[in-house]
Amino acid sequence: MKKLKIAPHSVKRYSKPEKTGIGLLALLLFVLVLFPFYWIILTSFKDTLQIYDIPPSLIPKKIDFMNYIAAFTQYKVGMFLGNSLKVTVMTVLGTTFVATPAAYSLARLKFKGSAQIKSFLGITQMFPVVVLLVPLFIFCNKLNLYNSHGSLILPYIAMQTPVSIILQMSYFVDVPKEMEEAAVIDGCSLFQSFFYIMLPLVISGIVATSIYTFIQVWQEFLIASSFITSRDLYTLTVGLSTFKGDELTDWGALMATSVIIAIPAMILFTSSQDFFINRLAGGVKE
Amino acid sequence: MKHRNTYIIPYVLMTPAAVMLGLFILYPMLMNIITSFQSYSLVQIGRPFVGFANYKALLTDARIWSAIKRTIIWTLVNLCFSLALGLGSALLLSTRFRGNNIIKSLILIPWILPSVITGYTWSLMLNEDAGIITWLLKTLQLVSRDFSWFRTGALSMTAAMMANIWRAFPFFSLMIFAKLSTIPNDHVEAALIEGVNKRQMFTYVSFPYIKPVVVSCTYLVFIWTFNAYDIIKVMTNGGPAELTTTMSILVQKEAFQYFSLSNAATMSVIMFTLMTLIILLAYLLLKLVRKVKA
Repeated sequence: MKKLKIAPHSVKRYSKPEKTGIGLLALLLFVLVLFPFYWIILTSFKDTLQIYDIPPSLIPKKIDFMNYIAAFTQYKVGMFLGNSLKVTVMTVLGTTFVATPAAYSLARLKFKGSAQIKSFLGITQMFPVVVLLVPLFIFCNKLNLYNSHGSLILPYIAMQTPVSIILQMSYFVDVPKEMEEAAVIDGCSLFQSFFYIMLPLVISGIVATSIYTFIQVWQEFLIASSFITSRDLYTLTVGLSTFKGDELTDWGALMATSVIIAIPAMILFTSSQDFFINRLAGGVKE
Repeated sequence: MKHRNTYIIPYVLMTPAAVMLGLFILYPMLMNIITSFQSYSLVQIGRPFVGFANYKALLTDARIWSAIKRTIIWTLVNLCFSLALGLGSALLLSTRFRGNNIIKSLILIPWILPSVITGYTWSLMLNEDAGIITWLLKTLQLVSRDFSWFRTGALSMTAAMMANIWRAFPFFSLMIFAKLSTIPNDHVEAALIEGVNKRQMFTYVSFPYIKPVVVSCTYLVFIWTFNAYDIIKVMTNGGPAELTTTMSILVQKEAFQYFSLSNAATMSVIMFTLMTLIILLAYLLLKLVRKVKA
């Protein structure tokens, strides 16, 4: 029989008034975490007059989609959405293509310098994007990429590659060595054993890693707002600034677009929540 | 049983990654340092080598010193509050009150929500006319009727910090909570037999066990916060009167508003050096504390 886990701070050890206190704190935490998110959704259904209502209304008077319609007709959210999808999907594909062979190589094959490469990958996590901003700008200018999606995709792939390799390695390591050895004995070449034995076993890990990359790139702002100057090429996060005028901000449309941006990230996250919590928690264990 | 050419295959597999990292991370890092020794601006022709002139000029520039000061305050306040809130809520979750699972699955929302959206949302909630938080403060008469968060530097900074803390603390919560739930039973049992109270349980059992996670999370959040850009850019754009301009905002503006690339490069080298120094110092300090204790 599996032994039950003892919680060191179990609520059972508290007296009645203390339990009420815990309940209140829990409620407070619930509101704190959820309220801003609720406010985004609520505002996206309010018209301008309602947004400036005093006192502010906490529930929508009616569910009105006009902010969403305005976002697509008055503003260019459809275009921003297309740009974001293009940049993000290309980055995810590129990163996976670059990172998977490297992760396999580092996790399964012993070679000279692999330890140094692994520690280098960890160190790159320290390099802030701001430090790379100016030289990347000069470099992309030289490649004639400035103000094009290429100037986003290529740096994004490079920046996501280290994390991607580190995460994927943890999946490759999990596959028992015997499976590969058996394949070799059966006459598989290295590439056959990679494609037929390893890949099916680690594909879920690769997908989860890709989701992580997707969420990171989907919300990138610093490079996207610095390297893209024409409105038609804006990604979603940069496009949000077009709702903000000097005098007036169209909060309704801005929040409607925020909902549109947040939904893919939320869905992808929920679908792989276990991965996030377990692998990432494992990642910072050392 | 060995493959032919086994020794070359690992390197072949590493090549795409090495090319990407070399071209878009290492080469730019190097170029950044080189550019900081040149005079390079988009509005001039040529890029002569000027030695330490950029550094000399910048180190007497009041803007960079106040930006460094602001970055350090920004990082410290954010880190302290997110850690305190994160640790507190992790402990709260670990009491396993009814419904803790619901909160546990919701608590990562702030962290998953794109930071730009977080910035805009808090701008709206703190808005002078339409902001619900400002309205609440005014109704409770805690602030005057014409109160605005975005008129003074200190208040604008506070506003941006609130948004950033809201975003960062769930990371601490979840990581610490995950670690708390793996405390071995015998540790807890032994402590219970000894008859420890709740506070002792935390100081002698839980805290020593979660300390490594607290340290590594603090390290990560430190790097993220020190370099934070999105929330400040969206909420204050460094204003009013450049009073919330941190190092990252300064570097970006110098490069893409004033096109003074060598200046921006120099600033970012200074910024990176400062960050590395702080990490190194903290590491040595931790080591020292451990030695003194032992």
